[in-house]
Amino acid sequence: MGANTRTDRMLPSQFDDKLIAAIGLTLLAALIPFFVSEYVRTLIQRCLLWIPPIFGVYFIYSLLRQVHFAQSIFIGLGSYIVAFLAGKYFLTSELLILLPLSLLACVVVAYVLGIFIMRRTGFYFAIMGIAVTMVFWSLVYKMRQITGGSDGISDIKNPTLLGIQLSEQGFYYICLLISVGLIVLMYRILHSPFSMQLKAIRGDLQKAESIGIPVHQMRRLAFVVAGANAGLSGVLLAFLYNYVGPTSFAWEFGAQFVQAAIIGGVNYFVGPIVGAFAFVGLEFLVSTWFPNLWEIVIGVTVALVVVTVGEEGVTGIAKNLLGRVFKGANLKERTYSDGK
Amino acid sequence: MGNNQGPVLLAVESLRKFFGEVRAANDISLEIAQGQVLTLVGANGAGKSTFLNMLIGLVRPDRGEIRLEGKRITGLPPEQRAKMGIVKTFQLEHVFDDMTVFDNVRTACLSVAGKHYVMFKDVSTEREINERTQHILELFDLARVCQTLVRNLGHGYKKVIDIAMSFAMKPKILLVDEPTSGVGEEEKYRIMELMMNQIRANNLAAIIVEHDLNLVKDIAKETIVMHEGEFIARGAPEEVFSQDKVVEVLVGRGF
Repeated sequence: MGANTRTDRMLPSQFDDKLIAAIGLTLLAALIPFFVSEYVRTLIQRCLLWIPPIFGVYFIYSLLRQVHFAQSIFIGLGSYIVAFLAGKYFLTSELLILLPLSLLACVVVAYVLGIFIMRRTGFYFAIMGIAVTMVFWSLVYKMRQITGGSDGISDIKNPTLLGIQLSEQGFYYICLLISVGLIVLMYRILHSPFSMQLKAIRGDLQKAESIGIPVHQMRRLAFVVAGANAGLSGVLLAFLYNYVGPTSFAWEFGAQFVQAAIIGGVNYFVGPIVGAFAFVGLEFLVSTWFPNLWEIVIGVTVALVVVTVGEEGVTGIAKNLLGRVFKGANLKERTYSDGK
Repeated sequence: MGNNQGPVLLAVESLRKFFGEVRAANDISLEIAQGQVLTLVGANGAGKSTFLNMLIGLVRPDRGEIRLEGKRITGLPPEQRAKMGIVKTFQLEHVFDDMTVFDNVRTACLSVAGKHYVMFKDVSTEREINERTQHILELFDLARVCQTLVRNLGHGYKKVIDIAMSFAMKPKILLVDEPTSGVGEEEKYRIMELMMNQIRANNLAAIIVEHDLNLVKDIAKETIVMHEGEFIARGAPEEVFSQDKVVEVLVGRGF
């Protein structure tokens, strides 16, 4: 039994310990619609929907040390599926159809793209991601008759669940549910045998192969996991704004998830959550008061985070500050995947 | 060369690999039975590592065939061969530096159990895997350092971890490329003893590349001398090392 107690302690898998904090935050998020304006609620919804694609970036970075710029492909896929089926060629706006359908589309596309993109690492992986994203973007941009070109597609009907039209508040809870659900799922995946072997692949590809790990297949699947997260967000983002445009396919959009991941801090499991709120919050504040300074502010923020705290991000800073306030409190633990 | 240990496990037939003018393997043939341990010696550049890498699939031979238990494995990718029981430890240690010793061995245990795609289960709940990992760590005297990050350990430890991972793969034949290179004299014997104990206890076949001729005499009854991609001598170490052509190759090249 010695083996078990030892291994149980070696990963920070004290899910139960953190469960209270997680439930508390989720409840807080669940109460928010009762206290804030519609505008602020939409903003929080946007934050929630940004979390899954950022988790995709985090997943690929923390386990494979690759920078994933191509998340916008899957946001775009999910969004345009909604735009076609619940907007342009109205067939259904049933979430129980659109979510699984988009998930399936993203899994298939991610798998096929993964065959090419995941063959490369480092610089080439990042560039391949951008290149493929640009192809998608320009296809959508050019096929005006079908996609509406730069005008995009508006008039997306409101979502239904089991045939019942969702109120805006109801839709908020769907977003919260899916976002929280995906966070829990990612926590699971990050502590799974799958992730441990991915980490081995990152450590030494040749050795991983020589101990029987199907390295290419597993890397492709990691790409699928990241893409699936983004695809589900894409569906909900399209419903949130009732509009889809080609910018959801733009690689610059994908790069924003990378920036958000950096701001949040890639050393922490909560990094993507912090990053989503920090990025979207900052975007809101700057565009409200200094609408022309957005690019400068975000650029400077990312640069500052990278230069001062690096992989620790805002989460690291917060942990440090809170640690000083509540001496000895171990508020956030590093994820096992950062290997430190 | 009678194979009295049992049925043929690994059969290599006219394996050839040229790198331009360099003949890394020139029509090599070899048969190894279950439980048979061979040492492979030769000067640097004789083709030993290339030969082992062809066996595990990291290097594609120009021609020739490799069979494991009668099945042709020549075209199979490395991970499939590893699963079939042909496993190599590397000359320069290949370990997962930013993982603990426990996780290094555990990864091999997960892999051999085919648990590649288990995504929704916490790895700490894989009880059988964790117990097996602990057991292997104890066999190789690594239990004390099991929670240490591998990058914080010395070269000798990394060698042992590499070997332990190979054993975790439940191999039928183990290919060991210089298990003691770059390791101090005392540790050399300790590593070799740990490894040989396990090879014998599990009746594994093994090909061990080793430079220390004294060790070679200790660990196996049979040795092969390789030179310019060919096996130039094979037999009991004492006998082989007294042959003129072997002395010329091993000593003349500053072995």
